Amino acid sequence: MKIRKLSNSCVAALATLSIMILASCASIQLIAPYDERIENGITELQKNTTEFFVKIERQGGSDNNDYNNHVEFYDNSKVAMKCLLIRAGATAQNEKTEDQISLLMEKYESLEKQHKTIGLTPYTIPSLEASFDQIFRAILTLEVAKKELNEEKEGE
Amino acid sequence: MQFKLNITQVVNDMLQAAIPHLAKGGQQASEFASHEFQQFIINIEHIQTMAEEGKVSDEEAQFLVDQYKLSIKAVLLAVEGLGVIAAQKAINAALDVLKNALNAALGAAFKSIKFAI
Repeated sequence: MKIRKLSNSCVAALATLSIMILASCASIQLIAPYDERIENGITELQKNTTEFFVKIERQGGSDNNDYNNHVEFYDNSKVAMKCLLIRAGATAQNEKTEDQISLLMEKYESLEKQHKTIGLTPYTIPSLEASFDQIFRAILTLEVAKKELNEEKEGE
Repeated sequence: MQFKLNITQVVNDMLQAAIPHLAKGGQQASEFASHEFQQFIINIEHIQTMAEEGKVSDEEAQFLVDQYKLSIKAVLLAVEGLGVIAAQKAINAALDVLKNALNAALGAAFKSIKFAI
């Protein structure tokens, strides 16, 4: 009877130990998972921004008097950015994407200030467009890398 | 009861599992960073040329440079993120090896137990 009790408690202890060890070997997560809404939101912003620059370039620039005709673009961009920032901030370990979106927001604010005070001259447009493309590419590169990570996990 | 775990072998296997992820992730981050930094330099040089030719004012040139600074900060964040992803993949691959080794060792240990019921 004693041997049976000892044997049972030994099995229980081993089972507990094995569960603890295996639990400690579970996979870790260092970065937030992929968020489709962030990817789609950034892609949409990129499209609208490109349309804005194409329009400004086609009309040969836009001085500060013409700024009022583009307020809607700035307002829509701000709203979209705020939504994305809140979305990114709501996910744990998403600081890098959150910071990237904050930088993009800063770019829109700076662009609007320039447009409002000085205007956007034709020579500045290609450079501006390229700088926005670069930040969109940076945000999407990270998000796509997260997507691949998710797909790899699901494939296992 | 026998609990056989060859620690040296497991550590080696863990390293072998982790290294390809670090190498691939490192290469991906490096290629992305190298491309974006090159673009940054080309664009800044272009702004300088435009300023020298009088196509843009000094104020406009500064505004454009500031815009690129913000973009390159986001690039650096992406590079950091790619590094974190590579590290996560590497750590998880190593943990997977450890988990399998422990499973096998524990399985063998349980098999040799004689239940006295």
